Amino acid sequence: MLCGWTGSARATEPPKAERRDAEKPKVEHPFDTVRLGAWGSTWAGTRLEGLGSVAHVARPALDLELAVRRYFSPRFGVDIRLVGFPAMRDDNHGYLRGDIGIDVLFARWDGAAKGGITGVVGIGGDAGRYPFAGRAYPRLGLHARVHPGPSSTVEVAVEMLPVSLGVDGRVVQHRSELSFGWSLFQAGFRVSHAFHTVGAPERTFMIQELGIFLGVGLLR
Amino acid sequence: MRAGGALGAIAILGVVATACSDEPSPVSSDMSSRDITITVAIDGTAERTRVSGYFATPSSQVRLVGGDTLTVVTETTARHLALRDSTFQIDLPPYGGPVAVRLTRPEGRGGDVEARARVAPPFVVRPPDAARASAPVTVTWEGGTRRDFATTLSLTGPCITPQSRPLGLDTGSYTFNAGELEKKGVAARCSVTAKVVKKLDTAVQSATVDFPITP
Amino acid sequence: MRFAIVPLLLLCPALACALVGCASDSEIRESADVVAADLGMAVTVQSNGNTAVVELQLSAADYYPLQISPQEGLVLDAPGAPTTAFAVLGDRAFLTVATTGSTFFLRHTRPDGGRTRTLELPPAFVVEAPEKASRAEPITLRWTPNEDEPVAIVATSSCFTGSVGRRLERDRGEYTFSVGDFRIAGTPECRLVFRVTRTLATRDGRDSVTAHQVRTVTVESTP
Repeated sequence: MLCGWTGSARATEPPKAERRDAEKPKVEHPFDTVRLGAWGSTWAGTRLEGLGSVAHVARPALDLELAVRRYFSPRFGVDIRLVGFPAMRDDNHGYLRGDIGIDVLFARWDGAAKGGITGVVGIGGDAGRYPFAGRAYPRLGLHARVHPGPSSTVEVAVEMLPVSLGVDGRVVQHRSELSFGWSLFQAGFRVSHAFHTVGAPERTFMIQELGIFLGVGLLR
Repeated sequence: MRAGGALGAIAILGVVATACSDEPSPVSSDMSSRDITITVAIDGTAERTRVSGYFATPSSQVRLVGGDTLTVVTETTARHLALRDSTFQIDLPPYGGPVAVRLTRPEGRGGDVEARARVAPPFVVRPPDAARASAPVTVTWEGGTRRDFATTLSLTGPCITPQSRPLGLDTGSYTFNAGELEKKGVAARCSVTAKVVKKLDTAVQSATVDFPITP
Repeated sequence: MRFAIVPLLLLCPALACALVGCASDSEIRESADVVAADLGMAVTVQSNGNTAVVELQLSAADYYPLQISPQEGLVLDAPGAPTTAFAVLGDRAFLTVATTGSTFFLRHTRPDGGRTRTLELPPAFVVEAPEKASRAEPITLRWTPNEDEPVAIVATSSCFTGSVGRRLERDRGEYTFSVGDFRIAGTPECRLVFRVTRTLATRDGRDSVTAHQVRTVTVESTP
């Protein structure tokens, strides 16, 4: 399944200059990313009110994000993401999220749109605006990245947070993201669904978030 | 500058995309029984017993839906109640005894919620014969109710000194001393209202009578 | 450098406050600072028939109480008792004297003059009440009536909380408490204390005298 990024299928001997380049240590992995930007989103749904009642909530949100993915070997990398925005005055819109994980590249392909698929295993934690925030969680995810051109990327990421610690009740969250890169410019969409089961009697409250991202990609 | 503009545009998009709200749900099916408190008040007279009250819930505009029903239950009757702006009111025939206002709920909402009260039996106040402010004035009513009811007798009128008597013991009669009702500088005949109130927490049973009084 | 002047400007009022003292306007005034013509006197007298307690305050034209200066001479002449000086504590002067009388003379002497004020108590009286009374019967108190002054009766007991009070605008010399007036439960025997007060209030210029005759009787309440 795992195949060479630059063509193990090449039949002819490369020219001398190319060979010299190939012998140099490769500092940049095709999945390496440093992304900096801002998310604008809306989140809406239900939350616990009182001891077991329902409140409807709908709010906008603004977040700054720094995402770093760095491969330290052809197959393994580390994935770090910091997302948040400080609380303004006495509002409750402040939020901070930190995720860290190990990326494993387990499929890659060549061709006109070369790309690959990585799996992510990690942990994270958040605090702030959401009713389900204030927790630590494990992360399981899949990222698929395609390079349609030499300076463009399309990436799809899905992630599941199956359990949580530190918050009342149980939280299960799905996060999905579709992002594009053209040279330095980065843009993306995200969808998140969090299911928070809590209260007496126990109910499952759902918060859905839709957001767009604009930023710069310092690598790729 | 461009980056700042982009951030601003994202924030505006977020705000425009949805109206900000964070409201407790007004429908009862979204409420846990543990978040519902029913407060009941009873105002009873010899003509009717008015049962009223309100729901204290996360929402101030609760609507009963999804199988939640509100009933007032006495020893003689059970009647459905409508909830309007989290409040209810119903007039029942004259009654004395326990009253329960019960929110009956389907499974999974935390169980039924109930508020109880006890109202004294209806009674009437009898006026004195030929009352004179300069002589003892005796007011009588059906007394002898349980000691946990607080009984108060009051007398008001334009030609007397108003009187209020929280009674330690409800014997069914009370005598005002001679001259106690006299008002300085007023020596005229007028109509006096005697009111007896028997109260236990928020349940009140009262009776009034008007009678003439002379100096 | 231009902005360095801002903290200096703020420092100036702070220094001024520290030098002058920024305390609130709570001037302490003494009676010696007020001339006799502007002095007012508020006297309260209370007698139980054997002992009288007198309390007074001096005030200026604005009726604000004054600290009583040591120069003020305040003594009381009461029938059957030696002339007694008041004890001064801040803006109040107190005195207790053993006397059965109901007319006293308060002498106030000071460097710029003096005066004597007559303190008239309401007529003395005796309250008659049964020593014991059943809880199922009304309790009647009797005394010599005097229609000039209102009468207040307050009943207290360790058998019930609070008090039961009556104010009689016209004194008829008796009052009957009904059976329902007292909430006595679970106590076989109980002592009811009735305090009957006759009050005479007079005013003369800036001076006011409030005089009380107080009598207390006790009734054993039986089941």
